[in-house]
Amino acid sequence: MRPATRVSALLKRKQPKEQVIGCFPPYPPVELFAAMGALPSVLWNLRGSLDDFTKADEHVQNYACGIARELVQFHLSEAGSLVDGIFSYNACDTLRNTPEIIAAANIEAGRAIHMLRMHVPQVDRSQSNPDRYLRKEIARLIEAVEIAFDTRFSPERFFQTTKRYGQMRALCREAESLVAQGRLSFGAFCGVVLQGHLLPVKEQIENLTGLIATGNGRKSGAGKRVLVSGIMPPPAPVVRAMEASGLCVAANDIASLARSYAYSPAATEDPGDYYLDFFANRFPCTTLLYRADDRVEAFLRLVTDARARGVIFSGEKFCEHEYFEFPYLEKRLRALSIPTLFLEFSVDDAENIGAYATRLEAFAEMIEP
Amino acid sequence: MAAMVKSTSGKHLTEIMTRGYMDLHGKAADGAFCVWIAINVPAEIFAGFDDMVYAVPESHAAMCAGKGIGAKMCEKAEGIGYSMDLCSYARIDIGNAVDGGKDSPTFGLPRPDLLVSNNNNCSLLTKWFDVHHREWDVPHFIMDIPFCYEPQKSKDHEYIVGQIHDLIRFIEKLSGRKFHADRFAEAVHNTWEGIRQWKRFLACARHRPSPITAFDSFVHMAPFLTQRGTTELKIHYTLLADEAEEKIAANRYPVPGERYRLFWDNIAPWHQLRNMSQRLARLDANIVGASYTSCMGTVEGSFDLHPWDEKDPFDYIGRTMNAYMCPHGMELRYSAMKSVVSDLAVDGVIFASNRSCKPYSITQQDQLKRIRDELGVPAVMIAVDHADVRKYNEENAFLQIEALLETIADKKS
Repeated sequence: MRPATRVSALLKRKQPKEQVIGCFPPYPPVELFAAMGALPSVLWNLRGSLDDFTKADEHVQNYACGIARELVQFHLSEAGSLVDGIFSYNACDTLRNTPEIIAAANIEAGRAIHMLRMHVPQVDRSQSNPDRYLRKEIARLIEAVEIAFDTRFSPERFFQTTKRYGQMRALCREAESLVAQGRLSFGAFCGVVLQGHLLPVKEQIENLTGLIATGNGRKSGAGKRVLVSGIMPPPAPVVRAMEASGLCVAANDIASLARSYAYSPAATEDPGDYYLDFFANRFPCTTLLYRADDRVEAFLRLVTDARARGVIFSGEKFCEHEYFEFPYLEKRLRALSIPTLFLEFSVDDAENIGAYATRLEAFAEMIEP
Repeated sequence: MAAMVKSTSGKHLTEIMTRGYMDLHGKAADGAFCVWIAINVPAEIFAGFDDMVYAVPESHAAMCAGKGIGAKMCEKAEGIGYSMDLCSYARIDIGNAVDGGKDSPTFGLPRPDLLVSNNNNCSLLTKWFDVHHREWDVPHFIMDIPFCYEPQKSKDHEYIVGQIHDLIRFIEKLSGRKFHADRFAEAVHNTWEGIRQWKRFLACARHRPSPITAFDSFVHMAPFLTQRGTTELKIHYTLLADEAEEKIAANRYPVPGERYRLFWDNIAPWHQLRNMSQRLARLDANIVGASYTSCMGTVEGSFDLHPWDEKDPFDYIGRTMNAYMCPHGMELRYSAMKSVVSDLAVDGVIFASNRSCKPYSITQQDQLKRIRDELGVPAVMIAVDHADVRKYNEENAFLQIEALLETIADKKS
């Protein structure tokens, strides 16, 4: 499904009394918002859903990453007016400044949007203990949501919601294994998972169940096994070119995909316990500074476990968190004789599909079956 | 053109910086425990330990850029795969590490025993230090400083102070050296004394014409980064402030026919200090202040000296951890800018949109509009890169600056 359709889905879903919380970066406490009656929409894959960047360009330089420019454009356009609240947490230097830009522009436009935020501790747990601080941050966030949306937190509802999110993430992992077996296309898988970021968890479960049923009804396919890594998957036309080149995505290390669903804490009534567990054990992401020591080994283990014969890095231009790591990861992969392909994407690069397709075909020829 | 004559403070700066780098190398070679830090890390901590030295890669990178070898060192990092889009300080530092500081004016930096970064100025610093952490297998301590959208909250202050104690315990364990709290307190006192003199120096810019330029402040901020906690800091900044006051008394000004008083927002364009200051002076324009150097010794939302009662150094250090511009948001930055525009009688603001510093630059477009529309002060945005000259175009920049001066002239007439 094209991203434009995913955003349209958000617009269509908007019910008169429904509170939509637009969230970024990619790991917000969605369970908490859902348990408190709101619809959390993780706005992390808006590429292709925006006609232009005229509003964003008034506020953000063009050397900011596409994600930030898309977020500003989205929030200052008509689509953004359907969001009742914006939640953000600390991840990168660009995105920490984005909420204020959006808030100021909305105030200027006479739009009242609740701005919610928390600070996710980034200390290394072997050096400092962030538990007390994180518990307080969660408690403060609950209070802020209660005030903003006139709602009350219910432990029982939180338990049920976390259970459903756990189920959804397990289904994501199951669907991913069908992609690795060649029974589902990576493109179809991305479409369902990414669309899910905008939908209620119940519908995510239904869609994933349908996708898995489709995959189970197909025979395994042969393909040259690769791992795809990045902050976002390559744009849909590039994914299609990848699969047309005979490459099979044996695993992914993508922030909006596996890094989001690889781990889910056990259901609980205590949001403090839940998020302590989540932030401590989440799959190491380049944006989670405190997981740096686990990151490289987790990445290499993923490559090995998936029996990937090559790695494709999907680079989001100007994403410093990712770009500081690529050279080291490439070096470690070279030592394992695993070839790599580096693709870079910005806001409109998917339109120039030819060059990507040629490079993917050449890469596929290098890969051992 | 007459040869440039170095001022007394300029000579003193060269002397203390040279001695500082020689001491750093000498002591590290003799077995001192060497720590590399991000500029916001409270370096006074290291004075609390015996035989411990610290180095500041950002300051070293700025020096390399100032000496005209920034681009060459960036290319070394790019040669091993680091993107040209990454911060040029980081590329210089990584390039420097590639060949052990072969082209560095200070022969590089001694290999660290510990890396200490934080995420308040920019979170990419932690990623940059992780490069060394992984390549050299050197421990890396990350300080997590919550970003301020509003004045620092007590919960965050408590969290920061807790981490300062954690860092001390970490160093004690790693180095086998004992921390002496009294020496730390003395070092914080020394920094505080230095900062008070620094603010006296900057305050001289209120005079018309100004006896100082922002370029002076860019050059002289180096000891604040590399010699924090020492008595040398107070001595140097006293000399600097005295010299500025003497210039007023003697009617000696860097831009004698000062017609345009400008303010600079962003990191210094290290590779352009002389070019830019001289060209501006020929236009009777003086950049009399900069957010980059005004924020030292302050807290978020103001460029005024943050008072300290000299009681609890941990409390003071924790409170000033959001001081620089990047660790706080747009509203707070605007508040400080608004005040300084009035305080220094600024005619126009130059927003330097810095490709190598997104945290400093990303809100500038909104800031520019507010300065122009709400304060009625002309402002312009120019494209720079703080340490990579390849991303700077002097003619384009001056086209914008000259347009700004014309706007100011029209407004005045």
